[in-house]
Amino acid sequence: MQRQSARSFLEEVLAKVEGLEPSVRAALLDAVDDKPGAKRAAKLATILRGDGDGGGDGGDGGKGSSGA
Amino acid sequence: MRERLTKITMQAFRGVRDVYDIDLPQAQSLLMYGDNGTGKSSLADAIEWFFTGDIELLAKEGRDHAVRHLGAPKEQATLVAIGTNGELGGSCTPKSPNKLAIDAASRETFLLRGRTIADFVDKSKGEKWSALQRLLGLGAIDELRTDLQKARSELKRSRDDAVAKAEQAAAAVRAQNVEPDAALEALARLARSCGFEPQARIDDYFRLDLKSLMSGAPPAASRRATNAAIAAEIGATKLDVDVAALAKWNEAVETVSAGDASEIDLLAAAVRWVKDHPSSKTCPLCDKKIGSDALRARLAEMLSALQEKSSRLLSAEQAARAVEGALAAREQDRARWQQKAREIGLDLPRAPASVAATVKAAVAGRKPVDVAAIEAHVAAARAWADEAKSALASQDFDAEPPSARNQAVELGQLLVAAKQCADAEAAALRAEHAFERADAIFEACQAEQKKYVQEVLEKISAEVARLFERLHPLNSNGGHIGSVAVETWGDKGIELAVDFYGQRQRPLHGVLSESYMNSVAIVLFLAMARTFNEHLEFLVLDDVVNSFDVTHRGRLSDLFIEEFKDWQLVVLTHDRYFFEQIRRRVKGWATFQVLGWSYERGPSLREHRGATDVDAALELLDAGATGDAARRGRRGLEHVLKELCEGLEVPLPYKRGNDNEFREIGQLIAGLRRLLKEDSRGKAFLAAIDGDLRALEADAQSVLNAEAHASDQGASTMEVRSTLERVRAFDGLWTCEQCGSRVWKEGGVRCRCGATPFPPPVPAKK
Repeated sequence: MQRQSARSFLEEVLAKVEGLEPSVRAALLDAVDDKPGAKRAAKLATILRGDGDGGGDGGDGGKGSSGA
Repeated sequence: MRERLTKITMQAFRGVRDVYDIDLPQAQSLLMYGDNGTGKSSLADAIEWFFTGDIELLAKEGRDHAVRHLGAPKEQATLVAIGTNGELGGSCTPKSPNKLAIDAASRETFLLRGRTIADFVDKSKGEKWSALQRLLGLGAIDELRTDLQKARSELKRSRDDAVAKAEQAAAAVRAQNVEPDAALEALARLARSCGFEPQARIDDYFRLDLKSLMSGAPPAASRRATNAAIAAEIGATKLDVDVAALAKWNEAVETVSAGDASEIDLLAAAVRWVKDHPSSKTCPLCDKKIGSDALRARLAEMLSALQEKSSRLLSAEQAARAVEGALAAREQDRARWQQKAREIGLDLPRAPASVAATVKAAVAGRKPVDVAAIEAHVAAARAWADEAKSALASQDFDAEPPSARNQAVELGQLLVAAKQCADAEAAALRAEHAFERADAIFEACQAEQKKYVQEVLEKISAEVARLFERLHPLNSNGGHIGSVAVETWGDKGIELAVDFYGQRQRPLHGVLSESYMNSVAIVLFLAMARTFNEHLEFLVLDDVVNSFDVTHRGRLSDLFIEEFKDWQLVVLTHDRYFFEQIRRRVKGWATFQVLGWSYERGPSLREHRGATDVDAALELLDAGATGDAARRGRRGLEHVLKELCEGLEVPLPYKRGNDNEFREIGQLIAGLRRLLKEDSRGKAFLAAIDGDLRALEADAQSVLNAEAHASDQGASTMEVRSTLERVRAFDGLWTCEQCGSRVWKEGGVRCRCGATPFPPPVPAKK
């Protein structure tokens, strides 16, 4: 039985999450190699928030759009 | 590729003063028999030392220096060299461990010793979990899960803040009697009143020149709108905080005793010390001698035991920090509302004293929070909100006639509120999206980790159950003990379980005997190795059958030989029967007998080239050593009789301790005769072989009598040869020609393959 590395494990996890942007996926996989802890957790949050490198909604016109 | 051993060299190591080699050129299995204290375990020590950098037993006692033979000459360095059929071979010394081999073997299972056989079984469920984590490399995956959980918590807090802000902004729009959804239409209406064209988007209204219509002091309408907006925001703000989370925090802090905290600090300091002093051989905690690798491993184990507590504390800490964040946000809101109220000429009541900083300090210092004080603060904040709303409602504004200026002020007020509302809604939407994303990933991570662990446990359990059943077939005990499995127990625990007379029992200690527990330990070891080993294809089994009776020793040898024929086995034993059981059945193994050990020369080995004692005696006879041949033949006869008496459970008079090992041939034959006489099937058989038994009894007294040979009154070469043939025939009588196993009474009174029954057929006399 093959042991899983953290990276291969996350690859499997992300494959099960629908609608994830490729850039977010790539950024999350890059973050796996960082040292575990608060800094990596903050980096993961930034990536998932979409305002860090690799993240982002791509803008949906919501900001400043009509409130109607 | 998984690797096997091809050579083991020890130099000034453990029981070897000079140099000792064992060659396994075909990477074949190795079987070694020797009495206690003859240096067999030095071989297991050498393999352990090379592939782990330690000898666990010595490291535990802080005796790493004992790897060196006390009498080794100064110029002789302590060294172990291992040859393999791959890339992991090399050498190691106390100061230069073989890192390549140690890294490769760090998560492999390859060594089982009789003295530590039940170590894993005896571990707590948490310790078993830690051991499995290490074996599977789950630590890195668990750290990733923890970081994803922290990220999710942070994004949840952001989402909650953003939603609260959006609600406040929507309340500010409603304060102007406009629903947020209808803000654009209301702006269009006001724009027309001011003489402007309606705009398509809220942002477009900022291009209009409203200032030209709004010179002079702010009109009453503006102040009224601000007043209403503040009142609406106060009304829309949730004042409750999660006091239960603070109570949980207090509980978690109290559970982690001062001792734990200081232990964690002490261990963390020790870990730092080990990192800074990699070559030190002294424990900084107790000053005992211990290798830095062993110390590091021990500290890691102790830290991992504290991990569960720490994880509970972390979760409570996150919730407490969320409460602290909510309290701080409300305090900032109150300050903002007071400032805005002052701008329209109103002094709101004095806000309750800040508590957010107190909570923050308590959490940072791992101290309990005064929950009653927080509840009092929330009540005070609620009272403040009521007072503030009353003050706002009681403020009078002069009535003003409608004018373009008033319309423009109203348009500006609504525009700012609508813009803030739209931005806050968009931010809340983004925050919600980010949280949903984090939540989906975290949930998938949890599920995947659980699935992975479950798959692993199911695989190991299936293997363990199957191998255990080979050692303890269900029909041999009425099917009452079986289905051994490794099961999860809580979030961070695994435990061994067994079906025991219809009830599922875990752990096993309460119901299984020592030998059953040892069986579980052995099959678990084998299952782990077979499931997870990626680099090593050998197993070292050092005296693992001590608690087994002859039947189970036979089954264990069958299991090794049949189930692990694709592996290289290094079997070290002081049990003659176990040695013989394996030796009779295998081909191509290197087979050694340790004849003795001396301080100067170390172990002295003789290679067993598939020969029995009788074969060896005949060789001695051919070489003219008649007395030695007789002594060897006597030993062969004793071994056969002892094996038979144990296997057939011959009732022999009780003897204390090791005296059982020194029964005379006559006593053994008498016992065997008694057993056959009392067995309905054995009577006829006894009649057929009784003549041979009598002849063997006479041989023991005369031809095989060591004293007679020592006094030059020994039998002739021809007599010894004839006796040896008789011993050989007697030995062969009890062995199945087809499968090579003994014909015991167990399992349908047949040999292992079933071809030869008990009692065995007696060949016709020539």
